[in-house]
Amino acid sequence: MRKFWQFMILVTATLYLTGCQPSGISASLDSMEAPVSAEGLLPIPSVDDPSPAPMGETQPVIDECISCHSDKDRLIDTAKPVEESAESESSGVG
Amino acid sequence: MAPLEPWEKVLVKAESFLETVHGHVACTDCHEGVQSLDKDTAHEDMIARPSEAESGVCFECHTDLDGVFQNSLHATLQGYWTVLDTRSAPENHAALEGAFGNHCANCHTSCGDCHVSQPASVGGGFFDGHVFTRTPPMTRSCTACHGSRVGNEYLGKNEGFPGDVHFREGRMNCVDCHSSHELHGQPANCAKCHVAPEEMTMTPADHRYAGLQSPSCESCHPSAILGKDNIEMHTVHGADLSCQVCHSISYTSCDGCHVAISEKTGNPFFATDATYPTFVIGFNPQRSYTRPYKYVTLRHVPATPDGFSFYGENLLPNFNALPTWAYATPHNTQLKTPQAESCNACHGNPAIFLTIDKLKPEEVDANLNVIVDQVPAPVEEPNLPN
Repeated sequence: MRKFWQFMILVTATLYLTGCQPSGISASLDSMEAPVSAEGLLPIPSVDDPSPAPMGETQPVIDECISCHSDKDRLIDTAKPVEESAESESSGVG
Repeated sequence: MAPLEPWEKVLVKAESFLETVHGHVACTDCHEGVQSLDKDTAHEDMIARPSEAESGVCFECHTDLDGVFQNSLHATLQGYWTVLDTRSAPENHAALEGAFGNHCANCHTSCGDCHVSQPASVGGGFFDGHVFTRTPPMTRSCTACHGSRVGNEYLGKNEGFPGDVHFREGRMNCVDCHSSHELHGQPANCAKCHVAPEEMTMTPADHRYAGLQSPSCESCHPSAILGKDNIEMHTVHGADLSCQVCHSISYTSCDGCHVAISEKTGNPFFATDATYPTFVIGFNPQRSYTRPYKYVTLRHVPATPDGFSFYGENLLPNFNALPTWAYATPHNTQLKTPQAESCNACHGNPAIFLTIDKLKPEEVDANLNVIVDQVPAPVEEPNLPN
């Protein structure tokens, strides 16, 4: 009988302490879950993303246009042949 | 400057350009086209000169100039139309539009023509590998277009005549006097920039001397106009003379410009009859509150009644509505000039005034309001300190 009362006291105390647990913990845990990506929002970086952009730094854009237009030899190779333009017939000061 | 090679015109200095603000914008955001290493694919639907496109891509970021620059004389070339419409008649407008498109419209200036590349009229090509410049390089941008008169005067390229003192002594650039407001135009609604209780609006400039005098010499030399500098000529003459009357030297005038399309090549061309140095003082044809001078310097402009005869008969029936000796602000300022050496270097000296005998008979009617009929009489020279 004594063991029965000891068991009941233990159960009651456990239930009582559980009821005092602050609810904020579960709320903050919820906010740490990954948000559902919605259409129209930027993709959220994940650990699988191999090259996340560092915060606060803008990455210069290097594209095909620049890689060609900064290469003198390629520009010379791909330049259109210069068309002989007719000599201007204008005379005097414009 | 020698013309750039075709490849040189479009060579981007990647290491410099990519560090600039514009270098953080993808090329295709402005130029459209396609990201590809194949030239033809990349250039499909590409816009080589995006600031000339109707999309107005520059104004997406430079919003303060949207609706402003489009009304500037650099963009509209309205100065030409003010003169053409005054001398013409409404029924001739269509024919003149054709002529304007062939011979005048390429003076139109876009953002890129001043801030990234040489104007198309002088062959184009980047100033500095597509790096944008806030201040246009004077000789590759401003005087590349404004060269034959203003540029040559300012830089001292007219043989026998020194350059402007502001250039020789001060190494001043065009934009040191000509402000952004002047070059970019001003908003029609003043309240866009200036807070005022009343609603103020102004019409866009329709010629280079429209509105306030800007720049004005007095902005930097206020004592000259207020008579505070103890210079007797400033005190005596006040606002009767424009500054150039005393402080300019000989400048360029032109005669008889005719335009046509070549039968051989199909290209437009022009021919001017003569170009010669002048220094001529006449009555002010633009007299106003901000330009109150009685006497100003006049430059002969190459307008001629049959200048557009290739495009139709008698297209300028009101040719005499404007003088052929036009209000001028030569850009060759000097502290000391021949006409200001003494009082009587000017007074009683008909050689420097626009008198009727200097005009061709067919130009007399057009210039009646600028001809000086009586040259100021000689005066007793004051005893000036040496």
